[in-house]
Amino acid sequence: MTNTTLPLLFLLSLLTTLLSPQAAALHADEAGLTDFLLRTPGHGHLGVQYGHPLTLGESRQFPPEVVWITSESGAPVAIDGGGQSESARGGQECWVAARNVTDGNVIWRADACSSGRSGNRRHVTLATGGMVHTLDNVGILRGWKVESGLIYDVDVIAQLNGLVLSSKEDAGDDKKSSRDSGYILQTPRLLSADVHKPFIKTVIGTVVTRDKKEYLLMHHSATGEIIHSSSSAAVAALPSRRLLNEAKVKPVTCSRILDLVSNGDRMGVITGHSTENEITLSSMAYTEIRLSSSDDGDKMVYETIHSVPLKTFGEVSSTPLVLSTVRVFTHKEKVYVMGFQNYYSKLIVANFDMNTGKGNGKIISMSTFHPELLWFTSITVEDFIDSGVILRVAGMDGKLPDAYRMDHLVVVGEDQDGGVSLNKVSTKDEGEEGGPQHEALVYCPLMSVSLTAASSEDGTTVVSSYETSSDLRTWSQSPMDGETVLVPPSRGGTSGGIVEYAHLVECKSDSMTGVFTARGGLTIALRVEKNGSSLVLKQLWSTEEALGSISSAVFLDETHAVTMSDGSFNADDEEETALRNLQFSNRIQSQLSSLKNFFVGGGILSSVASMALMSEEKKAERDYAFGFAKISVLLSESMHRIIALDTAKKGKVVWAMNLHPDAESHKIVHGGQISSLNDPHGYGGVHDHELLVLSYVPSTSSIEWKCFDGMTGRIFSNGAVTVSSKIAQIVPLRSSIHHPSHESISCRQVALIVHENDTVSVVPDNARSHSTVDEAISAPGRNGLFVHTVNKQTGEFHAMRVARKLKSSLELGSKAFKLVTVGTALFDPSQEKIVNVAHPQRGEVIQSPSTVLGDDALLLKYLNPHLVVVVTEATKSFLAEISPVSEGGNEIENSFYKSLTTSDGGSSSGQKRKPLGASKPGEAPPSTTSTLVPSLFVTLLDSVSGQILYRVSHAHATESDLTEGVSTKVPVIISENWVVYTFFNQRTRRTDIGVLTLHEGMIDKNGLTAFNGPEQELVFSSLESPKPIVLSKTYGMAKAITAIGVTVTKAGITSKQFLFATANDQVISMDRRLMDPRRPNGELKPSEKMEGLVRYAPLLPIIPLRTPSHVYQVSNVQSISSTAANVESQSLMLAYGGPDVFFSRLAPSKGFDLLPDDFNRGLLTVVVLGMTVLLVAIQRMNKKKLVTTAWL
Amino acid sequence: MTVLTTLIVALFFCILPTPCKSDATPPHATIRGRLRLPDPNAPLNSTRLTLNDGSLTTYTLPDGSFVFHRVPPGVHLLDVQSREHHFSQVKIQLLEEAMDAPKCVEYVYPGATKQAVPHPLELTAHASYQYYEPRDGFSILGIFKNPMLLMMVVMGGMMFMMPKMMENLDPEQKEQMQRQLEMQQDPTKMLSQMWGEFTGTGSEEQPAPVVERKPSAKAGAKTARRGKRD
Repeated sequence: MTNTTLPLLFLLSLLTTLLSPQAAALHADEAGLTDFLLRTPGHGHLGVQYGHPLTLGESRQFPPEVVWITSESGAPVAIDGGGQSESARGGQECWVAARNVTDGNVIWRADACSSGRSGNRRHVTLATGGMVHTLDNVGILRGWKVESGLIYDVDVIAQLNGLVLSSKEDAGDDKKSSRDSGYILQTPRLLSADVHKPFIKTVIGTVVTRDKKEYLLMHHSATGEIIHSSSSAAVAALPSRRLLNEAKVKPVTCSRILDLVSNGDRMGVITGHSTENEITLSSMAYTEIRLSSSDDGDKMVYETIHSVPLKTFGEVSSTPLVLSTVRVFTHKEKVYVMGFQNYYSKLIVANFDMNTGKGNGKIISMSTFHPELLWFTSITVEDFIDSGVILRVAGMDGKLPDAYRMDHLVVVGEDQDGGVSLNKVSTKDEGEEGGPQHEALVYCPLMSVSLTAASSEDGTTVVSSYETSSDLRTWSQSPMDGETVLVPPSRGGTSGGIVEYAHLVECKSDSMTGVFTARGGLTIALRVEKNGSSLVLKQLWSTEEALGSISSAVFLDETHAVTMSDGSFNADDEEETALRNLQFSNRIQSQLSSLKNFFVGGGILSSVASMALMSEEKKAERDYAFGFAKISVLLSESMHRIIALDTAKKGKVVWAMNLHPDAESHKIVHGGQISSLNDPHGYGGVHDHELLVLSYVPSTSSIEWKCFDGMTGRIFSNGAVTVSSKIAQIVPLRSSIHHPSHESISCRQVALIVHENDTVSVVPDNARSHSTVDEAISAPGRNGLFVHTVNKQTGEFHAMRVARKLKSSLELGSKAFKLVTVGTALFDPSQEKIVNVAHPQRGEVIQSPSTVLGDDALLLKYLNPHLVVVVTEATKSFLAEISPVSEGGNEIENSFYKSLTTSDGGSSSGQKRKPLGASKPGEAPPSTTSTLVPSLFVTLLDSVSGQILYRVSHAHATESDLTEGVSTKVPVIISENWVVYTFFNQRTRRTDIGVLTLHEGMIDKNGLTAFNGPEQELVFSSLESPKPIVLSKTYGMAKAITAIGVTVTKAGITSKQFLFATANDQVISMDRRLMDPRRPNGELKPSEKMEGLVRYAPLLPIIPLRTPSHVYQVSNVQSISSTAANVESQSLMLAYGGPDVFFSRLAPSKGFDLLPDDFNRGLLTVVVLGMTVLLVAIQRMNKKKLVTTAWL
Repeated sequence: MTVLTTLIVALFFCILPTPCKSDATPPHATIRGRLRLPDPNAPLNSTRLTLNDGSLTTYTLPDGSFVFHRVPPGVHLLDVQSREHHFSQVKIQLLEEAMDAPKCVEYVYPGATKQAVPHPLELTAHASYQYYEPRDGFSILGIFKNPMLLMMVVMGGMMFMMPKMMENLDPEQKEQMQRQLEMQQDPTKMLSQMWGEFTGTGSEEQPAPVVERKPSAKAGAKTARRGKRD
């Protein structure tokens, strides 16, 4: 029997290994199993414009299934460009995205701005005729379509520069040569008009400026080409000054192009004289324009027909309007001009005859809309009907601190006398209180239904529908089936439910879809369908726009919620529940019940079945057990929101919380100053779910804090601490003492805050936190609590020690602690500018303090938790001072010519050049050439003593002349004793990666024996220990790198990979061995080969198979976080900061302790069964044979 | 303080829209070109292209053509940021005095042989990226290619073959083998025999004829060695 079983078992194990192929890269069908990508349009909610290609009026069409989302860096049609608040990120994002209406997925997204890294990026968008047009601040006009993306791409200014001005008066106006290229695009603005005669065309208008005069350019909407004047092909720009002169309008300061208008048959332009940001109705003029085909065929040309001044009387004509609020539209041969009076307190509306310019106007006070309305904010044109124009007029109420928005549906038309009429759609019985307040509304004219959102007393936001009467004078609320709660009560009471925007994205006679965006970026699409006479409300999708602006992430290990033995779940007292579950009787009970379940409840069968086939349920269980299920708590500083994702459920949003909307900065504090991520006791590790978020509010000069459970978002306690100056540094501290959770105003997570004026405060400010700080100050084995600050403006680095003030040991409050300066370092701000500061990865597990070399020697790692890397860039003035004049330019040219003429090929300059840092330990890196001027400095400091440990410089690393005033981006990461940073090399026009490894020294092969040991200090001291020996190498990379990450595993045994987010929207992984500074320059010695070193090559290869993001587009990643799973081979990473959030599970050394997901369990089962059958059969045969032999 | 004020001034310049300045700078050039795929019918939807790792960005039109507006003089690296196809990188030099005639050098990959290319650039994809490892399907043949399995098969074969072979052997040979087997199981016996052989003393107990031992001398030595190792 044993003779046959052994080989069979051997065969079995062999088959197992054969059946589980360990691939280094993904298989095609595995994509999306262990990773997920959350895409957002990328622009948060600030200035989002759901620009559906809706052609207003007769042809009201939506493309099937698709909606445009266009982003605005500035205001929609800001005429003056002033007074508009830029987004928190400075309006740098120019994303244009197309989104599916029915599921909310982003179909594609593109960058509308042509200049990439410039500090001044702005663009405007316009949706019309099935397309979206974008214009950026340098004058590149682009047209985009859903299906095919970019359609045209023209430079408006460049097209103009070949043209002359339109007429003599202009030439006389300014004495310059008419071919002057003095046009500039002051504020990007896009106008549009639809014409139906003589052909159906949409005309795009752009506005250029010269000498405070604006010129209108008209473009084909399909090609972006400029439409020329019919008089001359060399004339294109319509000067506002001339049009106003023709209309005999008195000049004021600036002449402006206000808008293009059309009513189908006719088209015109509204111009006006204005001051810097105000305009009166009396200084406006209307000029009619006719389009026709040119003589030579298909080209379109324009001619001006006539110009008339717009005339109203009395107060209406002389009241100044805020320029950026002026809206112009036409309806039935009338031009309507609307705008807000200065201070946004009155609305002025006037209509004018297109032929004569005569008109009437009205001034409407706010009380017409709602008694609580405090100021107006915007006017949006919704639709054109027979009796007038349907508008949406928005304003804000005065309920501070959370001012609520108010949306009103208004019909503007003509009354019987030819005057202007304005009617607010309202319920019949609206009395003094002004009826219900709608925060946002969308109106579908085809359905005559309006969908509104309003928050109720208890903080929930509720949707309701209103059916309008046929004359659009009144509406009445109609009941809806379905869930009407749009946003549940917000956590922490910070106005999470306030709906800020609503957009109609689909409108049919029997259904409509609206998108509502609440404060914090929660976006929900709602569809209302007509079912007979009743309305049915359905939530189509919801998404978090704040995911496109994540600034930091914390991973928490997901565990099952603690339930009582009877299955009930008490979220309020989780710990109590857990403790009760540990009682003996409870444990016995649960054991018994699971035993019963195993035998009676089909437990055996199911466990066998799940063994054979990996069921989804089993997989989820495994995800928990192996620590793949993590809650990642993401903070969006610009959107003031915290979002928690479940990584095991494809990034499902578990909970979200809004933070103080006026805060300047937010920070999540988790863990202790030095704490292991996988600390089994869970103080500050992934298992500790208590988080603290700090929000610095400058208006009240206080820090608001919330202590909450990262798993559920439940707030344990919150409060505010008044502070004297800004936050310079936050030191996380963790109380290791358990305390009951029901104790109010307490939090195990403590933050010690160092302010810019070198004072200290403790959050939360109570005795318990102070004792935690005391504990940290007097921690055994460490000589106190050290903190440091880096001032990017003054370039000062301060290393300080926290001490209790004498005589104040009993005093409470933040004044109990003081700072004692230990050391300082200075980066002279006239010579260097701090670009980036990096700290070691907190909680990184380091498996071995040394590296074993090929000749059995040991290279000791320099592991200093207080290491700080400061990257500085030489200032322009300093560079000019130290570099020979215009040397750099010539050098580039010369080398370029050389490379052109010498076509010997093969050897690029990189291979001949001796790479930087190719030096033996202890030696200084050789300077490449004496003429090179260093422009980037990487400085390694000790944050306890403030002493500089090492400094390395690179030449050609600053930004080129292309982008002025932008600081160089240098991502840095510290992992173990490795420092990796990347920068753009201006000479090779390539991204370079600098690698430094820090070492304490080397122990020879025979240096460490029982009798012989190296003389070494056993205690590391920042003040006394010697500086590290630094090895360095620089590598080139084909793609630019925006962020660096590193894989983290539980015990640090698995080989490490660095993760790079590249410019082509990918996350790639690079084996650490490939980046080793010890890669030898010459032929490999046998010992080096033994160690696995590879010969130095100046370029690091990008291997498509080592791309965790595979086909995903992960744009503009700003940071990559990673955490360990419970199994050693797996590491979890999250890339964020750009519009996408990408998560993946990586196995840098392949899955050596894990069966792959595609392990063939079925086959294994079959083989096992087959073997058993075989075994029995052979045994029988054997017996039979024995019997036969015995008888013989 | 002066530092602070200059910083504030700099900050202001960042926020304000750049008036006039962009036009006062040296002349700009326009770089044009077209991307092609080996298969002319394959779509090339809005592929992003960058100059100098993102200081200028553009996308391809539906026909694959692209244009960079307002390129300042200097040396620029044009890169196609495609996640599907591999294109060459192009270094472009624009001299201030000859803005209309940019000099272009193509690199198939960084560090590769460079070659000059004419200005309206024509870039054809060299290859498409493979992000997935092809899955080798389960096949019986694949299993048998494994050396371990081959060994297993041979061993298994031997297991069944050996008894048959034994039957076919001469009775003398069989006896010999059995003795060897015995010795294998009892190393002391073998050692003593060996000792006897060397000294010539132990031959009384084992009157094995010399002739008979000869053919199996090798095998004996082998077993002896193996025994030692055990």
